[in-house]
Amino acid sequence: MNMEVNRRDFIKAQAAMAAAAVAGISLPAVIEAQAAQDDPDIRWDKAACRFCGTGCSVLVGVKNGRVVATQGDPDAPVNKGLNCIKGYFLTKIMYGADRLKKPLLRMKNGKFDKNGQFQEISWDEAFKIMAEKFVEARRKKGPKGIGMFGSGQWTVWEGYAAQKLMKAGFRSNSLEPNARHCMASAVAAFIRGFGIDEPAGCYDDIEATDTFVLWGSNMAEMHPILWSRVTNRRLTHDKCQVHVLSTFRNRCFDLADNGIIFKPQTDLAILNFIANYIIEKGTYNKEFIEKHVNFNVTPTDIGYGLRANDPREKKAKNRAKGKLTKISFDEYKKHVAKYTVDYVSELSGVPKEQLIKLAEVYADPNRKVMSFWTMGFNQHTRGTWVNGLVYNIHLLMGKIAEPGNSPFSLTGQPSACGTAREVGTFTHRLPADLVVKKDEHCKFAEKVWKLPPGTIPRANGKMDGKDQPDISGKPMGKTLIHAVAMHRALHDGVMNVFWVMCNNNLQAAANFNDESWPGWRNPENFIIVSDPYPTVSAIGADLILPTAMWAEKEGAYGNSERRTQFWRQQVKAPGEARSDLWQIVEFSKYVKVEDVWPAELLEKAPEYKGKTLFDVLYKNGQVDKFPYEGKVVDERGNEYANDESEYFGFYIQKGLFEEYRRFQWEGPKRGHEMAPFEEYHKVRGMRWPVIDGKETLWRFRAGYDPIVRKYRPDAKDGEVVFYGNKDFRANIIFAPYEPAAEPPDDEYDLWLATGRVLEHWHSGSMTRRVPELYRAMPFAKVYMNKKDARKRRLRNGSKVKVITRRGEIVARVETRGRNQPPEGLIFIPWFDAGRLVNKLTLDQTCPLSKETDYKKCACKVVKA
Amino acid sequence: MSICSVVVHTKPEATLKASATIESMPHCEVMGAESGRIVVIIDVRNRQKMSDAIMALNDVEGVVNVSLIYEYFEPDDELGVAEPPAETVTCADGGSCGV
Repeated sequence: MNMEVNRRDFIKAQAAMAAAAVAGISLPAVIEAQAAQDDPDIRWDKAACRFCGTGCSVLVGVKNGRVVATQGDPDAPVNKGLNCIKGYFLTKIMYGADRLKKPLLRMKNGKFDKNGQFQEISWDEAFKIMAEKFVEARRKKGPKGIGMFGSGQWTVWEGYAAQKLMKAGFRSNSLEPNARHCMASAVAAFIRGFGIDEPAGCYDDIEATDTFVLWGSNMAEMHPILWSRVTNRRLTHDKCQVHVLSTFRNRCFDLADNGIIFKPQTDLAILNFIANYIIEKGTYNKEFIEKHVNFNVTPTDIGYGLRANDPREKKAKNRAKGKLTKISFDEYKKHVAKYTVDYVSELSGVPKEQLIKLAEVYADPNRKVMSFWTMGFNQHTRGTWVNGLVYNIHLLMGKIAEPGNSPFSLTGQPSACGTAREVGTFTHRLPADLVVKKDEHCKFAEKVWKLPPGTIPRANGKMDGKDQPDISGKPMGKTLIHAVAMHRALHDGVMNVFWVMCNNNLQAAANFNDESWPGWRNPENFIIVSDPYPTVSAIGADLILPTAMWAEKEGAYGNSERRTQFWRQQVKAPGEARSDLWQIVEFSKYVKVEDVWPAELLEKAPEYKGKTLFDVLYKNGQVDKFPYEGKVVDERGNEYANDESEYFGFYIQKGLFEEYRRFQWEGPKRGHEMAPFEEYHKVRGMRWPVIDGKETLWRFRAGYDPIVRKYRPDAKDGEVVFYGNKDFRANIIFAPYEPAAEPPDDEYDLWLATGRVLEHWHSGSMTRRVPELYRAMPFAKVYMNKKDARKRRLRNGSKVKVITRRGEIVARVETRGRNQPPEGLIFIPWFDAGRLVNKLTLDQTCPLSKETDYKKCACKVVKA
Repeated sequence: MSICSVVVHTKPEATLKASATIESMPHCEVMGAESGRIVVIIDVRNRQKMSDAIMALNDVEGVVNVSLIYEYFEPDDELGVAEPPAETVTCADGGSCGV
């Protein structure tokens, strides 16, 4: 047999072998023989996927400085060799034709002009004007005069560097991630329920459970790899059931044993019905709730997070209140008693048999249940409540923190957990679950960062009960400002400088016409956007910074199951594009401590006089502690560049990560511990807490989670200790059904829900630049029920205007697509920059988590 | 050159039929099939046709999931150059923003 094969056959054999290995299928020997030859020109290495929160690992093949091949990583426990369609085209996101390669500033006559045209400038010029604008706004308008809007797509060290720059350098808590739009409700509920963020379980629950319940999560399209694991379990485990809840039919319903379509907002009632059903049936876990659970109620009628002058806010009795009141089990029982099957079936539009079938899987003590949710729960004006209600039913049964019993909040971004949540790049947070509300937490951070006490603004602007002085000479005052409030502050001219990094917030934020756009174009304001591509945000900005992305830098992400994963720099960024890390750290050289700190504070650390923020924050003897040897070498001897370390002269990613780890190991809150930097380059990620080199699969249970015995040394294997809370108990929190902010009426007679599709990731900045993905789903469509279309004399493909109280867009109707709404609701995806669905949406939030509800507002549809 | 491999998951009873359907589809080659799983190679230079072929697998009767495994791509002709979206981003204030 001729073993000489041409290159095409060789690659085909490689491809076939990889697929066969994943599928467990054997191929003819000739193909195996062809594939066995290696291609010496290709350097292979692992990298975490750039897209969703699943955290798949991909193998990246580089030839002549360019990525030519990718393969699902067979050694990755998350995806076991599989890739979804987005992951498959992953490497092409770096090679879009319109990559930004030079900083661009709006100019007229050689000077910055808000109404000017974009012109190329140098990085030095860019940072000079930024520093001028930042310092001026910080002085004039106080800590809220400037803002930074980062990302759950930032690498861990990028978020950490930004955290230091804003909170310690500029002394401003105006730092938020786009994760506010996607995960804040999940976080608020974790903290209220468990006193510590992120899930107790992990993906291993999928192969251990008997039941999947999807609450407002279209996993088939948004988390396809996890969905393939769910599918596999459903098809191979006889007892397995899949229940899917959504406000419209989606692809997950194809696998559902119980597919439930409910009226928007009534998920609150359905969850309380399940609690009521469990209690009536008497199958709740008495021992578990006596030992491990507190019962509480939360204030009701809390408004919708709109501006204070909105009539709905004026009417709310307990606007944005969330303080819990303890109640007894009997009182809790009375609260849920109202939620009978008759009442809830009527309210939700779900047939009684379906509700009972669903309740039964939770109420059966011998059936394991894994509940999944994503944006259906989180983007909800009662998002914190509804997240809590699903914990209620798991806690009543004790179905938590053990294999197969798992309430599991999925994330949408690759490092919403790793960067936004764990590093705490929110206005109110510091690393490792610390908060700026607590004086002692700030003091701990200041100690680690070698800064004088009082540097970090407290939430109320007071240290030890005394006002913190500001550079303006005035007291700091209240310092917290969340994402939606930032756009309002730009609109009102309260915030004048806004740096958007690694996200597309002008496209992503709700109420484009009334809030976002007027805020960005307010003549008083200077907007900076760092992005690889000319997104809607970039072209809405005043200064655009070209950005290196993903495998063009060394990175670390943390996925939904607490898994931290690293990758090395694989290729060079084009032109003058630089990573977010480089941008943050290099910019800090342009600001002097005197520009932003008052003399009073500087007196406490005279050694910092005359220094730049770079000297104080990054050249502090810790971040710059590790030398850079001129290259990164892996265990097989392959060599990689590290452009940031090369430039700064020290191994900056390692320095930042090791300083960050001190929060986990020395801080006041245990349970977030990670392993040393080098360890992560050797493995396919580890799930924290990582103690003695071992990851933790299930938290809060002795035998699985080593932190338990730090609090309770005598805990027996299997014993549950919810150590996030001081009394070691989790909170069941009763919250009622309350109506949505803007239900349909006679004029605006349809619900509008927005969301994502399989082919595109979020705003489409990257995926729309991959021809294959672009072609597969070029434009956003209006998914509509046939009957609703007929009533309006529309048919499949008709051009329509979708109108809300805030704006209108034109798109085409789809009545036969993969998403099939019931009568009374339309669905429009938000990836399409040509059809900005956020011109339609309302900037309503959960009043507790401040996360926007993108799923419910009223609209009408007319022929265009 | 643009080649990829895909594992198609089907309901076990549908594997044979789905496999035959896929074999007859343009640019697709079935390399192997066992209960519930089919290994498919797609070999087509035109990347849009590649995309169409992959997406079409989702619509084959009995298919529950399509997972991509391996991809090789070398820009060996004009079709390989990545293009920006056909519809470029328009500025919200009517296009005066200069990009």
